[in-house]
Amino acid sequence: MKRSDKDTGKLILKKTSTYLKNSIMIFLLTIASLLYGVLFFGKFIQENNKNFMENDNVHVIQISGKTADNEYSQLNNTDYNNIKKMEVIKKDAVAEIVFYQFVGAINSDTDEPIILIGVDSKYSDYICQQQMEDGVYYTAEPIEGRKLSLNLPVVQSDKDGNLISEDDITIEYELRNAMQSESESAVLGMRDTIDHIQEVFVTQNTLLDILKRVKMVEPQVDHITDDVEKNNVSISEIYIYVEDVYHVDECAKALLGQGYYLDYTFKSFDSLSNSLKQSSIFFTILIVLLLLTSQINVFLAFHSYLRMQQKDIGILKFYGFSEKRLYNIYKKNIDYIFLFCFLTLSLYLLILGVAIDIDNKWKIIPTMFAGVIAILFILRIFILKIGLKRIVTKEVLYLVKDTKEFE
Amino acid sequence: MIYLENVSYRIKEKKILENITYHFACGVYILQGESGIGKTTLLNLLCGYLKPDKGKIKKKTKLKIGYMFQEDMLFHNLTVRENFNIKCNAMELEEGNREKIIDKYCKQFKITNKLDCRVSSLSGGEKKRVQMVMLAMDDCDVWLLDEPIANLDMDNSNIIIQYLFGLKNKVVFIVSHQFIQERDNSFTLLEMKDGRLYEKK
Repeated sequence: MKRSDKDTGKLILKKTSTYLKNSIMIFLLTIASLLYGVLFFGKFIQENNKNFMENDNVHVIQISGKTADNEYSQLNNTDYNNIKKMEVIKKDAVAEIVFYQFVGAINSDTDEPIILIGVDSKYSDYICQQQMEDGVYYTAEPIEGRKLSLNLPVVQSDKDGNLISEDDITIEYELRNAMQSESESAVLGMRDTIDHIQEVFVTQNTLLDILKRVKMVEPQVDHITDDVEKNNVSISEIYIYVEDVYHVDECAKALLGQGYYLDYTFKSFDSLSNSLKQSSIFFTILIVLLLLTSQINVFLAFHSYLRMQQKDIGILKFYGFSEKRLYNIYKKNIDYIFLFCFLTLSLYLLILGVAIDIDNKWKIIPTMFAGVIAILFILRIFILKIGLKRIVTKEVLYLVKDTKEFE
Repeated sequence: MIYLENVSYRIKEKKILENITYHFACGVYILQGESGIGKTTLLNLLCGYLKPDKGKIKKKTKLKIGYMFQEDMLFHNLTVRENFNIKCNAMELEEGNREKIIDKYCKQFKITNKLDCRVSSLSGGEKKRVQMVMLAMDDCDVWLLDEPIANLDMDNSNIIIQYLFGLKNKVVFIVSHQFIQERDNSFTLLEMKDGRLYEKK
């Protein structure tokens, strides 16, 4: 740009109206609120993810019994099958983990009672630090030695058909101290354990094998779930893992409706999952509205500014400036304003980045920075191509005869 | 210099100019007529701001036309000097020449002492003289002036009229309600009536 045009631009910039200055200030304040809102929303999402979405505890519903005719009763295989068939469980649950419990084992070395719990090895991830294998005992608390021997009573029937045990059997398997701690496992964290009675986990196949060896199960039984009541094994709990945390309440309601006794994180809250979802929607709408209003406001402000500049543009044209020169002069002035906005918002973002504690902030801040650039760039294009270009191409008579609406 | 051939102009259904044929050679022309008769429209047509509905306006090639609007075309919040600078920027005058030219014409129109005053603080007459300086700087072949001495006192009017009548080899076209004292038939008096242009004796 020629120096003479730069000088003209400076003189014209002196005339920038108070209305435009005020509108730019409002625009900057709105964008600043928007940026803060986005960061706040980002932090809200992160906290939500940490506390809810990625927190396994929130996804798990523990079913520990059922009530029927005001009486509490234990779960059985029929309950397990009914739960699996429920529409809402089929749709939303990704795991139905059954704990088959056998009481009566004794640690051969310490003579301490042991509760044996059989779980499906395909759900190892929820309770063990490794893939569970058949023929291995798993514990959470440390037990000395690499092998564990359990004494189990061998069940026999007397001549009257009563069950007696005159003999016991020692079953020794490799021992792995690999169960997740209560803080690591959402499932184990929900359990109430009995003091002084250790729990040892095995796969369902291993439990079935043990029960066959102690003659509590017929040799031809293939699966622990086949007639669980007869096998002297009880279902202590069933754990449902719901994939989408927003559906936990829905699943829980359906289970409660069937009379099951439940425990889950959201139980103490009134539709918390719904509230979380609505909060996310609310924040998203708020941010979109802030963005739209700020854009519209500043576009209208610039448009009004250019309309007010109409006579001045007419005078400049009258003085002899070409359309191209006029466009460049005003474009430069508009660019100064945008540069000012850009620098102000960049500084503000930098301060926010330092002040606000949020995970991955040095990824989020540059992304927001890019967003600010995009917003300003698109706005600038609109103002120059739709606003400025239209005005400078008008005839002198039109430009100078139009009256100013307001100053 | 400018030749109007059967020029007509309408605004919506209203006839403003009707079949005007006239040749403007070098000299001073003063156009009079009632308000709203189309005098300013004729000026705008001569300047090229408007196009005739019918007929042609023929001009000598590379003709430089200067126009003084009825309203002042100045930046009121800037000083007189700043306005002149913008004009010089438009004309792409070199720095060295600017001061000389501005000084010359400011002396001519007796506006030198107002150079650093804001335009908004000037009187009507002073604003007209500032506009005259701008026109003079342009060194136009055709001068079109819409009410250049309207609401001016005698002194201000005389400064402007004397300068205009002193221009040589130019077409000077003045629209004026006010009586301009004849000086040895040195101008052509025109009148507009019913969309037509007449020379008045």
